[in-house]
Parts: sequence; structure tokens; C-alpha cells
Amino acid sequence: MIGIYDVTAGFRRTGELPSHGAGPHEAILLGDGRTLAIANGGFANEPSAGREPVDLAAMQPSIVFMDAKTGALIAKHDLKGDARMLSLRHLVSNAKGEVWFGGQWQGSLEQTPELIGSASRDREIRLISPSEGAQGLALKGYIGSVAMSADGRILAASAPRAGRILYWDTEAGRAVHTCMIEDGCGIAPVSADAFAMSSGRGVVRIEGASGALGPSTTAPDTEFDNHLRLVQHI
Amino acid sequence: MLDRRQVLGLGLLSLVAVTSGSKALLAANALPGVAYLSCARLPDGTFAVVMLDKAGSIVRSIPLSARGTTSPSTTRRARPSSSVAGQGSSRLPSISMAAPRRTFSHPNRTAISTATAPSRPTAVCSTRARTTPKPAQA
Repeated sequence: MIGIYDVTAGFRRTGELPSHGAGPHEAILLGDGRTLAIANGGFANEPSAGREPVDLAAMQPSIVFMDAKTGALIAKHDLKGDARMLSLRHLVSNAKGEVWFGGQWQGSLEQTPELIGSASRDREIRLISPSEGAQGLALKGYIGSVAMSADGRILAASAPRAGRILYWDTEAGRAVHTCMIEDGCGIAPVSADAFAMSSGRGVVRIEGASGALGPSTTAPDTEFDNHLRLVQHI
Repeated sequence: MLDRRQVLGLGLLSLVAVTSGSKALLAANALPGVAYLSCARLPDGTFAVVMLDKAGSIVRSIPLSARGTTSPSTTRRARPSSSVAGQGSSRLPSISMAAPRRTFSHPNRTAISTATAPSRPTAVCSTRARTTPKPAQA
């Protein structure tokens, strides 16, 4: 379910739309200003159950494209087969109108598939195929946040459990670089080729997608949350 | 609902606090020198919205009554949470605080966000304006 709120009127709820899938986790408005892309995690959340998924065997993760005004389904792409227990979580779009996502594997660690993929209105979900070897296990089955470079080409996906951030060239279809940052999860675009990242250890760092290091600072005994927002370029 | 500590801790110019039912919405003007927004657990164990300069140093913080997050993962926990939404280049963030047994979903870049189910005690908030520069899109 997608709740609609009037942010100019005290967040008054004005309506709701179907998410066309179980467990919607993130919705982003695409560049046309009309289409919502939704990452459906694939299972219903049950608050009383804490963080435990309810029924993994019945998982149906999907990426949905929906008319934001009417709720009409434009396209729905289910994640099927061996990757069916990959809960789709975080979304970002790129210059080609593709939606890129990061997921969280709910199955056994040794069976972890790739965690990153893409889809579009007219194309089914496609997980990445790194030529340098599988990444899903190295990322410990968990992507906490994704961001797209300002030029819409490089995807950054953070894997806090692995202490890694993977940079993926969405046009060339290859990994550009992987950086290590303990419990790093928050990530935000800074420029065409650089990102800011934050960690649960109080670190904030700027880094180029190619690995070039920028400024870094640490707030002692501070734990940043999983997400970092760029407010403005200054 | 804001408590005294939260109000005193804000220390911000042009602050407007509006309470409405289970939520408190803060809005303010002027945000010089702030490049990033996040939430954090501070050294004293309290939670806050933190505003960072371009080097990543915390330049301002706003206390929260519960863990703040921009992550929808907290919708899987039936506990109070706080959600933060930036307002663009020249404004301080809006903050909505959930009532007990309510959690927030993702304050995304749009005025629409997700909830787990309409019948459950799940609240949703979103941003007043775009919080991140929109990637180049077709």
C-alpha cells in the first residue's frame, strides 16, 4: 500500500494507492514526474514478529512501475527462480530511465545471489553479472543503501555487514571499484564520480568511484544511521 | 509531540513548531553551510537529526525522542521512530515524530512514500521538497 500525504498540511493523509506487491519498501518518482517505481520486498511485514520475515517460501519480490496519480499498474517485474528470496529494498534511477536496486538476501548465506540489479518499464529484472566474480557473498547478502552518481552512470551500493561499498558502472556493466569502510551504509552522490559515505562508527568520507580518496572525518562515539542525504552542494 | 528538551535543543532561527495529533512537524528557514543530512545516535546515547558540512563535520543537530532514520526498515519494528525529511537547499528539515506504536516509512524524494499495510499502526511521512539532486533522467 502506498500512503499519500499532504506535506503542506501537516502530513494529512489524503489517500492511498496499491503497491501491486507485498512489502513495499521504497518508492521513487521517475523523471517524467508521473511514474512511481516501487521496490516490493516480497513479504508482508508483521510488526509483532519483529524483524523476522513471515513466510520466506512465499516471497514474491518485485519492481513495479505505477501511475502515481491513478495507481494504475504500468509494469510489474517479479524476481523469480533462485533469487526469489532476494528482498528488493532500495531504488535509484539512472540517465536511461532504468531503475537500479539493492536487495537483502533472506536465504542461506552460501546461496547468496547477486544483490544488485535493474529493470525498466519494458525490461524484466536483470541482476548484475560481474566479470570479476560473484559479489553477493562478498557483500554478505545485504545492501543497505544505493545512490547514483550525479551524471547518472555510476551506482554506489553499500554493504554495511561486509564493510564494503561497491561502485558499478551501469553503462559498461562492470564493477569500477570496491572500497572498505567499517559499518558504512549511508551514501550520497557528490559529483559525477564521487560519493559521500557515512558509517555506524561516526565516519564521513568523500571518495571517488575510482577509489580516489577525499576528505574524511570522524565524530567520536557517534553512530550514523543507514542513510545519508545530500542537501545541497556547497 | 515535542518535549521541552527538544525545543530547547533546537537552537535554530526561524523555527516553527506545529503539532498535529500524533505528529510534530518542524520547519525552519536558513541552512547555511549544511551539505548533508542524516540521523545519528550521539555519544550520550540520545538520538538526533544531524546536519553535516561538506567535510562531514556535524554543524547542527536536532534532538529526537526516538531513533531517527530515513530507512523504511523500521516499519518492521513496532516501535516509535522518527523520520526526517530535508527540504532542499535553503531550509532546515521537517521532522515528523511518530506516536507510540507507529513507525514511519521512507521519506523519499517525492511526496509519496510507502507503508506496509493500511490497517496496521504504520505511519508514513515524506518530504516537503526534493532532498537530493535529481540524477540525470531520461
